[in-house]
Amino acid sequence: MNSNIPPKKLDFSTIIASSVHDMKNSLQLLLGTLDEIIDEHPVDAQSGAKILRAQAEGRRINDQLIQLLTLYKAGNTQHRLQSHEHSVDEFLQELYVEHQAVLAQRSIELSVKCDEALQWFFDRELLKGVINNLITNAQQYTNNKIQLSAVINEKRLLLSVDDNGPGYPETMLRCYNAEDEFTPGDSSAETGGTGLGLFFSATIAHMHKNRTQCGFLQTSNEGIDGGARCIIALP
Amino acid sequence: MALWTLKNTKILVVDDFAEMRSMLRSMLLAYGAEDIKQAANGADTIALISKHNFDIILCDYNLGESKDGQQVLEEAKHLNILPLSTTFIMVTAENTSTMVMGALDYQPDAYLSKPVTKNTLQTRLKKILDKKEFTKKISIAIDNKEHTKAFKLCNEEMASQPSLRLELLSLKYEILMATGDYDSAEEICNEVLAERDIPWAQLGLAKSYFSQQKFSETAELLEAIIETNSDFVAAYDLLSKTQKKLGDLQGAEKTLINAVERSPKSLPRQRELAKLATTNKNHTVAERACRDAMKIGKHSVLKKPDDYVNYSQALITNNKSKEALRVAGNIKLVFKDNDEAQLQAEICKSTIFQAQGDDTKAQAAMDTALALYQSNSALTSSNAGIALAKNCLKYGREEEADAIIKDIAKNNHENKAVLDEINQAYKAAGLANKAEEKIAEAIHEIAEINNEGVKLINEGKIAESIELFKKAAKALPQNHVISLNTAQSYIFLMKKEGASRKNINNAMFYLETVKDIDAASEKYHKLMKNCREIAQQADL
Repeated sequence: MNSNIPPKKLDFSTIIASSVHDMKNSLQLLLGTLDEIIDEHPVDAQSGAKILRAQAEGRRINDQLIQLLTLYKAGNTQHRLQSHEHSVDEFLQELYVEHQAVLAQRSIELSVKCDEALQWFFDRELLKGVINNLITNAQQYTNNKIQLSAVINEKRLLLSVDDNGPGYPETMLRCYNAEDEFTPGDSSAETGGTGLGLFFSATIAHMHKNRTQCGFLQTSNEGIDGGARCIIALP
Repeated sequence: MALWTLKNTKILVVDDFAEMRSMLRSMLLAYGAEDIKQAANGADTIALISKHNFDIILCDYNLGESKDGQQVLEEAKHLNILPLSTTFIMVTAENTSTMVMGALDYQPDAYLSKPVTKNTLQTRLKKILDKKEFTKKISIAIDNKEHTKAFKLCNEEMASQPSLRLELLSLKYEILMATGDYDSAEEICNEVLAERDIPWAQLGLAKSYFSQQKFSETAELLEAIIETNSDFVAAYDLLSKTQKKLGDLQGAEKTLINAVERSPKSLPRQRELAKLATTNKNHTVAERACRDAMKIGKHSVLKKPDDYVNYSQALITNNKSKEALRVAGNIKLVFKDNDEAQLQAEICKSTIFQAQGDDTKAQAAMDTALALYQSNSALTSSNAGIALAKNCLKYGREEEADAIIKDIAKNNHENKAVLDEINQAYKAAGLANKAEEKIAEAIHEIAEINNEGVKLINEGKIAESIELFKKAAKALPQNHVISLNTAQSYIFLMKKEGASRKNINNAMFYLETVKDIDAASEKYHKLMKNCREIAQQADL
C-alpha cells in the first residue's frame, strides 16, 4: 500500500534542459541565417570572412553550451552517452568542412588522415565538442598546419589533433584522467586558457566505456615536426 | 551546386516553431528539394503522413504542448501509415538518451542534433539515405514475413557491406526471433556482446532467454543490465514481465514504478502498472497510473475505452464516485461511434450508482447496458463483462448474468485468472455451483469444436477442418486454443499439399494472436517451429 510514486519536482536540471533547448533553437536560427546571407547576397571577400568568423563563434557557443551541460550532468551522475557506431572518416570530414575556411583565412592548412572504412562507437555530439576545442586550441599555437587523424591501436580508437607549433610545455605533458581535480588556471598559466577545455575533453573521453575499459586523453610533442599532439583514446 | 540532389524527394518538416521550419525548408531547397510539406504539431503530422508517402520526415523531438516526436513516431508505426521506405529523422536539442533507451522498438532511422548547419544536413542526410537504401530490401521482406528470403539477403549484404555488419546482425536477430528460433537469436546476441555492450544485443539476449522460458536467468541478466545503466527503461519493462512470470507481483510493480519515473509517457507501460497495482491492491498507485494512461491516450489513436473504465473503477475503489461518474460520462463523448464503449460506459455507471447506493439509477443503467449487450454482444473486455454480470446478480437478473459469463468463459476457457474472477463473483452472490456449471458447459462446447475439427483432420478433410476452426475463431477471437488449432490445420494442409506463401501467412496470423498468452506456449512454440521449417524447405 505504501509504494507511492514520488511527486515530480522542477529541479535545476529540468530548467537547464529547457533553456538549452531554447538556446539551441536560437543558435540554429543564427547559424542558418548567416548561411542564407551567404547564399542570397554575393558578399565581398572581407564581409565573407566576417560571416565565416561569426559562424565559427556561433559554433563555439554551441560547443561551450554542450560542455557546460555535460559537465553539470556528469557532476550529477545523470549523464549517459549516446554511443552509436559512426564512420570516423565521415566524422572528421564534417569537422574539416566546418573549420577549413576559417583556418585558411589565418593561413593555417587543415588536413585529415583516416582510413575510409574505419568505424567506431562514440557519442558524436560530445566528441565533436571535444575535437572542436582541440582545434581551437591548436590554431592559437600552430605555425601553419593542423592535422586530424585516426587509427585503431590495441582495440582503441586513437583520434589525434596535431600541429606544428612549439608543442606543449613540459608541465602539461601527461595522460589526463577525469578523476584529476580541476582547478581553474592551474595548468594553464602558460597557455592563457582556463584549462577547462582539457578537463572537459578528458571527462568526455573517460565517459566512453566498453566493458571494463575507459577512454583517456594523452598529450605529447609528437605532432608535426615536434609540435603538439593531443590524443583521445576511446575503447 | 551540390552533385547530390533532393529533387523528386517528398519531405515533411515538423517543428512547433514556424521560423525553425522555414529555416530547415530553405536548407533543403538549397539541395534541390521541391516538394516540402510542414507540420507544427503531432496531430497535423499524423494527418499528413496518412495522406502522403514521404521519402524523408525531419521531426523535432520537442513539439511544445502537444505530443513529442517519439510519440508521433510510435503512433504512425502503430497505425501502419509509415512505409518502410520512409526515412524518419529525429531532430533533438539535447542528448536525450532516456528517450532512446525507452523506445528500442520504435527507433527513428537517425538522430540529428541542433543546430543543424547546411553542410551537416547534406552530409548526414546523404549517409542516412544510403544506409536506408541498403537495408530497405531486407526490411520489406521482413514486413512481408518472407523470413527465409530476408535472412538470405542479410547474408548477401554482410559480404558486400562490412560497414553494416552490426545493423545486419540486428536484423538477423529480429528475423530469428520472429520465426521462433531463439537459440540462434541468442547466439547472435552473444557474438555482438563479446565485442561490446550494445543495448539492442543486451536486451535481445534477455528476450531470447525469456522466450525460452528461462525466467530466472532473464531476471538476473536484466538486473545486471539495469545496474550498469539505470536509464535503460526497456530493460525495466521486460524485467517486470519476467518478475510476473516468476510470481513476484510486488517486485514487478516496483520495477515499473521505477521505469515510469524515468519515462512516464508510455501508454502500454502505464496500463501495465495500473493492472499490477490493482492486482496488488496498491490503490493509490493504481489510481495514478490509470489517470496517467488516460491522459497520455487522450490525443492518441492508441486510446481505448478500457483506459477510462479502469480509471473510473480505481476512483470508485478510492471512494471518489463523483469523479468516477464524470470519467464514465467522458467515455460516451470520447468514443461516440464505438458501440462497445457505449456499453462499457453504462456498465461503469451502473457500478458507480450501486456504490453510491442509488439502486434506481443503477438498475436503469444496467438495463441500458443489457439492451446494448443483447443487440450486439461484442464485448471483448472480460473485465467489463464480469462487472455487468455482477450487477445482474445483484438485481436478480440471474439468467442474463449466466449468458454473459458463459460467453466470457468460452472466450477464456483456459484463462485461470478470468475463471477465478467469475467464480468469485458468483460465490459472493451465493451461487458458487452455478458458476462452475456454466464454466463446465463452456469448456464442453469448446472441446466439442476441437474434437470435431480433429476428427475432420483424421478423415483427411483438412479444408473442412480449417473452415470449422476459422468460424469458431471468429466467434471466439480470444480463445487461444481455437486459434492454435486453426493455425495447426493450415500447417497440416501445407504438409499434405505443399507450402504456399498465403497459407504460411494464414498460419502465422493465428499464431500471432496467441503470441502473448502463456498457457499456449508449448504448443505455440511447436507450431512456430513447424511453420518455420515448412517455409525454409520451400524457400519461402
